[in-house]
Amino acid sequence: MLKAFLKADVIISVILFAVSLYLLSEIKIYDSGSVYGKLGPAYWPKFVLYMIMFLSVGVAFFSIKGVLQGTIPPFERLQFSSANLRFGAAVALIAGYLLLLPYVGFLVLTPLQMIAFMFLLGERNKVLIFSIPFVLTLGIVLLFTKVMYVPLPRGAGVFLEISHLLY
Amino acid sequence: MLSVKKCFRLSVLAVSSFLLAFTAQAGDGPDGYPERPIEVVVQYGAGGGSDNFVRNLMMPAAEILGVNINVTNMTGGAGVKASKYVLAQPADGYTIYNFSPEQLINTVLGRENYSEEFAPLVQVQQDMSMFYVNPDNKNFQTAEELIAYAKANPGKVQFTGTTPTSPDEIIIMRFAKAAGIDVKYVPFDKAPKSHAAVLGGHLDVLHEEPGSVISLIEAKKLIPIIVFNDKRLDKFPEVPTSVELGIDITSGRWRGLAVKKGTPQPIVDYLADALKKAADSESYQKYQAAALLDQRPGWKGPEEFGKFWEEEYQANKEILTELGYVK
Amino acid sequence: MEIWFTAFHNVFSPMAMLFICGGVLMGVMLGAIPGLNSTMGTALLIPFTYAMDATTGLLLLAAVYCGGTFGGSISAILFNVPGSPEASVTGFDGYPMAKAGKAGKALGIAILCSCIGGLFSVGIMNLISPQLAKVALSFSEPEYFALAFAALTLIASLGGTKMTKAFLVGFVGLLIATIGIDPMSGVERLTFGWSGLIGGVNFIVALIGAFAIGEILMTAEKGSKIDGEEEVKVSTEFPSLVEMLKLKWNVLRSAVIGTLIGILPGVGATTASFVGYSEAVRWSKHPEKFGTGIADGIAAPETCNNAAAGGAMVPLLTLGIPGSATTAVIIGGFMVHGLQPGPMLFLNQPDLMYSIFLAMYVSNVFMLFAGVIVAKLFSNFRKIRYSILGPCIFVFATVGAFGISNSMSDVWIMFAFGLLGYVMKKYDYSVAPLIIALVLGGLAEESLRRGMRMEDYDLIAFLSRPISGTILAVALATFLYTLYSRMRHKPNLLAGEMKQPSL
Repeated sequence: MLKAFLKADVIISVILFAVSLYLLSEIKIYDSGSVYGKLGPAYWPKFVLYMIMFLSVGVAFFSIKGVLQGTIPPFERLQFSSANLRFGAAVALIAGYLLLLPYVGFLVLTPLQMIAFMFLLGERNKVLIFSIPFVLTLGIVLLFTKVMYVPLPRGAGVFLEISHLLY
Repeated sequence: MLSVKKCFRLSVLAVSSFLLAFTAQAGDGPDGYPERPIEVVVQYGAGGGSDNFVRNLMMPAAEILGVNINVTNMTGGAGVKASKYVLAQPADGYTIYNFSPEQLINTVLGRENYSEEFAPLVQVQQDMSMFYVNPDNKNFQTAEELIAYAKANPGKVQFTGTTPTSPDEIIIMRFAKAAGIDVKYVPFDKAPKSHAAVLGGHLDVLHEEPGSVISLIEAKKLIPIIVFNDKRLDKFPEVPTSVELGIDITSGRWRGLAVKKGTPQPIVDYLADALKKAADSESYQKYQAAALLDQRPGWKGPEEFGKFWEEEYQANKEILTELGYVK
Repeated sequence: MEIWFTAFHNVFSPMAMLFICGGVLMGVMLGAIPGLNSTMGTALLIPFTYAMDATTGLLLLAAVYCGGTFGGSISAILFNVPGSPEASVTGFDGYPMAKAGKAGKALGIAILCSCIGGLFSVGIMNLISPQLAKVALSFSEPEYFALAFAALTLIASLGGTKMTKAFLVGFVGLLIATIGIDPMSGVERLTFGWSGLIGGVNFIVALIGAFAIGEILMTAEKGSKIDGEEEVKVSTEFPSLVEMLKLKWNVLRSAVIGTLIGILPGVGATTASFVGYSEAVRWSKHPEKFGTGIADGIAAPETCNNAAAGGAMVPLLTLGIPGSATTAVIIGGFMVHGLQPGPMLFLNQPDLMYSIFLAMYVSNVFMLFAGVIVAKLFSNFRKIRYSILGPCIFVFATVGAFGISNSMSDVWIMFAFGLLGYVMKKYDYSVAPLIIALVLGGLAEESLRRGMRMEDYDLIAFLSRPISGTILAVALATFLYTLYSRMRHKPNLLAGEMKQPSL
């Protein structure tokens, strides 16, 4: 019985239901003031939230029913493996890159991130690892900032000075 | 079909902008300013009225300042995103902002705080507000008929413009209040949709600056019924002014520039001076005439522009509170 | 006839041809690179057109516009990162097809259908522009709502066998579409005080996240044994006549839908391609195959978006009202020469108009070559193994998301959708309904609320207009029929989780 409730679909449904319930209370405050007319800013999101709650109950119901009837395989124990580690490292690498980008700037940070990422994905060819990131970054910086005027992040402090050398 | 002369002009333009992009030299402003490209941030999409204004002004300005000027569009969130970006840059005069009435309105609504954040540079244009109706509108074809009809049918006349809590809505509601009528405002997120709604006869009255609908006026697909000004325009001598009708509203959309607060005064003055020259240039004047932006004097220097912000802010605050947008 | 002669003379001069061909090539390139698009390209070209005469300048802009509408599909098919918003849907079937080793075929279908769609709409525009403009103006909010509603109900068929899940995902997409400043009231919704959300969630950012970043995370988890297609030679392969004949009704329908939607002011090629895809699903004999990499799923959106690009020129040239973002910029191209596009220009300078028509015919034909050239260039990247390609795609996804409105917050939103896409892929939720709802949700909500306000909240008046009523009735009927046939024949599939991997 418990195994039926630990299915991913059931967990996702419960989360969606709870979040919707919270957002409903958040949304009610939008509908004050007659200036908005009868269908105010909360009208549509409210309808959408009710539908999400209804459908998440549906998804959870079908999932549990499926497991109990044996048409869907039940929950299996999560096993920790190197795959989870690699996934975690990839997420950390991306998050770290985005966090540092405004401070270090695109020009300096991007090659470093790419080198780390290539290592993570199992690339071992040193020549490629240490050439492609620099070539690509330089290419993008020239194309985006010089030709198309996209203001890629420049960083702050000493990194700002470095970026200003090029764009 | 390029003539030799045009070919030559084209290649000179291409080569010079290419060189400008790759060289950095000291400018002749205070402390060698500007020594690298200047960025101008526009909070509206490419091709809109503000974007056209900035791009047409910056073409001659780049030549005067001797550096490249890059126009960046950062759309979304009534300009809040663009404002935040400008505020995240150093106050060194290398980032200029297309300051619009929306920043003052956002301050009223509590999303921004213009007086703490931006320093006025110059106002360049003073556009005009006009109302238009469809020639097939059976209920009214003039401003007087509109007011009479709206008095007989309160809440039935449908006005349209761009986005809620916008300068469009403010001027429509100020008009309604002054005329003593009760109207309905139906906003669209993009100006072209509001034009189409009146052309298709789905809504009654359009608020718009004449520059973007001039072809429709000339083709008699839209009939201008009022211009918010104290004297009639040379271009449309038959259109009555608001003042003639006893409505004391002459405001319209203005377009100008600002920098982040804290930018050194010499740089502000230098930029204001350069922009004045750019606004007087032949190419800018040609654009201004084509877009009907030369009907009212629009130039304001930094100090004058700053005072104007104060007045506008107070006026907007009053009407938005009355409408119920501010509690 | 004389007008055509002048136009012919204008367009087929060596200089003009050079600009048109160069413009198309540039447009395709800009479209194919994520983060750059033809709207930016045309905006940047306008100062240069100032130095040309009006006709040449406008021919160049029109050529870039035509090419840019197609270009995005190349990167959508090859890497699942659409280079431009118009190409978003193309990846739904294009990428699975490329993964199955038929990238060349997918590109061939995309290029050919783009060309057909483009030529169809230019032909229509050339012949009956003024009449079409009238049709476009007769559309009001109820019709817009009906269009959005019809496309949204197709989510039922898109989820394949998992209908409740598809709808759940669809409604989550509708919820995300409400984030930001409400266009009807100006109220900030669900931003939680973060200025990054105040402008709403851009669907292209969400799409790049859910597809590209989601896939990168998925492969990172899978590990190092990922090779590129070093043996596979990706070269564009045009579909045979027999294959094209199979697609004929689909292409024709998509061309008509694309042109019609393109004409509507403010609704561009992106919406057109979504609606075209949905309609292809509705009238298909095997709707469940969409999303698995079938030719119909590429032909429909590609025909549609290029047809819409031509369609968007109709209100621009006849009324001076831009039908899309790029056409708005093209107005600027008229204005630097002191011209105002609109009814008067159409009367006063017909030779200029016909030159533009002719240039668009030429551009669409030349697109066949430009498409093949750029596709060739880009397909070389597919041969690279994923340990190199993955990080490169990530960087392009980042600058692509950043370039939408030059803001870091969009890049963070992309990352969040990357995680979401990963979870959805892992637990077998289809991403397409999320994106469709995100694109059409705003249109559906706005047109409903605005239309009801215009009708003084009279629901009957809102629903009982001939065009919108018909569209709504057809949409409702097909929806109920799908529901009925699922319930009746395959009761399990309604819940359906037949071969779902366990947690």
